[in-house]
Order: sequence, then C-alpha cells, then structure tokens
Amino acid sequence: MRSKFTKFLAVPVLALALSACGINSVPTAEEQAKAKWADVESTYQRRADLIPNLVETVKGFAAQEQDTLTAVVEARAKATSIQVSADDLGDASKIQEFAAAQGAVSQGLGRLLATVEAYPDLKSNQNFLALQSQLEGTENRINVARRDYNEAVREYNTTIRTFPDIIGAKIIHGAEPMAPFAATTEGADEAPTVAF
Amino acid sequence: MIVSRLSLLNSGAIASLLVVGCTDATAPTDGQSPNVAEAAVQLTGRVVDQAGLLNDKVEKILTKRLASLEREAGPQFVIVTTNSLNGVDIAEYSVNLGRRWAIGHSERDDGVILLVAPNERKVRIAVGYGLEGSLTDPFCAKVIRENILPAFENGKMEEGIISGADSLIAKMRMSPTIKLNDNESPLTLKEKQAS
Repeated sequence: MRSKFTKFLAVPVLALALSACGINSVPTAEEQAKAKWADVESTYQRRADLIPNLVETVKGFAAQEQDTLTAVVEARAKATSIQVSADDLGDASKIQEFAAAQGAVSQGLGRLLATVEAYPDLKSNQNFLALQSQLEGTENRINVARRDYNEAVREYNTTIRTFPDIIGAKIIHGAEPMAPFAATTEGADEAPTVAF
Repeated sequence: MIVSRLSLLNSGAIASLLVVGCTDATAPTDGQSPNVAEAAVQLTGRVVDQAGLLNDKVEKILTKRLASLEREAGPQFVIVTTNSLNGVDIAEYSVNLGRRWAIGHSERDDGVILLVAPNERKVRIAVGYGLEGSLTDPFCAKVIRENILPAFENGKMEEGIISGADSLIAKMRMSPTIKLNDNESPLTLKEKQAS
C-alpha cells in the first residue's frame, strides 16, 4: 500500500522538481514583464494620439498660447520617436530615455492645461471637456500600466535571482535582470491636475 | 462571481481598471502602501456604504438594480462609499479596490466601481477594460459633472449616487457584455423571477 502511494507521487514530484529550476518560471515571468511593457507603451501611445486633437481645440480658443502649444507638439514628436523594444528591457538607460521624453510631454500638457484656466469658453467647450477627460483617464491608465510593469519586473528579477529558479535562469536561459520604469523628474509621472 | 479587470497581476484574472473623473482639483497626494490603505473597506455586497450615505431602502433598491444589471447585461457594478482614502489618490484607491475584490468577470473584465469619498470630497468611476467601449472617459466624466456633482454640491448625496448609478446602468444596458440564451430574454428572466 505504501509503495504504491510513493509511485503515484513520483511523477508529480519529478515534474515539480523540473519546473522548480526555472525551466518554465523564468520565461513565464519574462513574457509577463514584456507584455506589461507593451501595455506601458500603448497607453503612452494612446495619450500621444489625443494630443493633436487637444492642440487644435485649444488653438481655436487660445491662439495666443502658441508657445505652450508648440512645446507640447514638440515634446510629443520627440517622445513618439523613442521606442523601447521588448529585448531592450534590461537596458536601464533606454528606459530612462523613454521615461524622460514622456515626462517632458506630461510637463508640457500640465502647462497647457494650466493656461486653459484663463479661458472660460474653452473650459466649458464640450469637445474640450471630452478631450480633457480622455487625457486624464489616459494618465491613469499610464500609472496603472507602469505600476504593473514594475511589479512584473520585480517578480521576474526575483525569480532569476532566487534558488532554485536561478539554476535554469543562468544555465538554460541566460536571463538578465530587467529595469523598472522610474520617473526621471520629480512629478513628471503625475497626471496633470485636472479641475472638474 | 466577482472577478474583474481589477484583479491581481498573477491571478489570471485581469485587471485594470481605469478610472475616470474626480471632483475638486487638489494635488494628488502621496499614497502610503495602497494595499493597506483600502483594506479597511470590505466587500459586503453590491453596495458598500462604509461612509453611511445611503439609507437602507435606497441601498436595497440600488442592490437590486445592480444585480439585475449583472444578470441581464453582464457587467458587475459595485457602489462604494468610504470614510477615508487614507491619503491615497482616489484613482489609485479605486483601482486597487477593484483589483483586490476582483470586480467583474475575469475574462470579460466588465467591472465598474463608483467610489464616493465624502470627507475628501472626491468621486471616481473605475471602469474595467472590457467596458471601455461603453463607459468611455468622456461619458463617465459627464456623469460625474452632470448627474453626481450638482446633487452633491447641494448636500444631496443619495440623490447624486442614484442619479449617477442610473446613468451608468442605462449606458451599460445598451451594450451588454453577455449574450442571453435564446430562451432567456430579459422578459423571460423577469417572468422567471416573478414566478
């Protein structure tokens, strides 16, 4: 009776032992982090997509804010030119460059929205209100996506440094740690404050 | 079953809620550990009135409406009032709640939370990814601006919550996330309940 029981257990135990050395857990954690990075990029892209419309709308009411508008357009152009591919997630400097460019967009938008305060007609314009809410919603999506990415990176980095997964990570996968997303400027990651 | 877009990272259930709209333009506050902050609120039902803004009758009526919404259209909608956000940004707080409670169906990601923090004077609508098509940011912002805030500003918290919830429910009913079986139309379901 006892021996039968042991045999019965042997298969799952073996599978457990194999899976415990990182053969599966390392790539799983890696793919997870990469997928979360894709979310980060797509939420930033979503924000970038809103900007031309926002700029047009603001221009209609506040053409004299040309400098602020131009700054946003330029920051957007620069930010959209910087992409970090999933294979470069170990390169902290690339992520930092991405973060800095996006941070510049956040600051530009923050300034733009602050100027809007001076234009009551713009503030109550339906099109502007819709864009403003989308922008704010997108800033939230960005924060959530970044938080999720950082969490996934933390888990991946822990996985590849912890026994026994470290065996598979080193020998089979040659896994390198990934870099979290850190805001470069104080407050650059914060959503522009939107008054409702 | 409550699983929503808000769920934890690894649980397979998805999550992410987005949040739309907040009253007042105070600067975002720095959060402490978010998991601790919102742990004070427990998921006790479809209406979690920790701040005590709703009388029992209203709570019952809302609970009924939320239940039939889920049964007939799919989305799982939870209304929450909280005494304190504990210094956490309301957007983050509401998303954390939704994830922790796993509001919405895990695959459809169709959870929604209407969060009211009367002491901080903030309101938030957190929407699961699966509902982004119907509860868009502009729509949610409009509900807050036109249905909820005017009542709140007059001190009529119940009225604002009911009006906001009704607008959200009506919108979600227009694009159900589930298909009813041929023999299970909303009407037949109603008959079933009645019998």
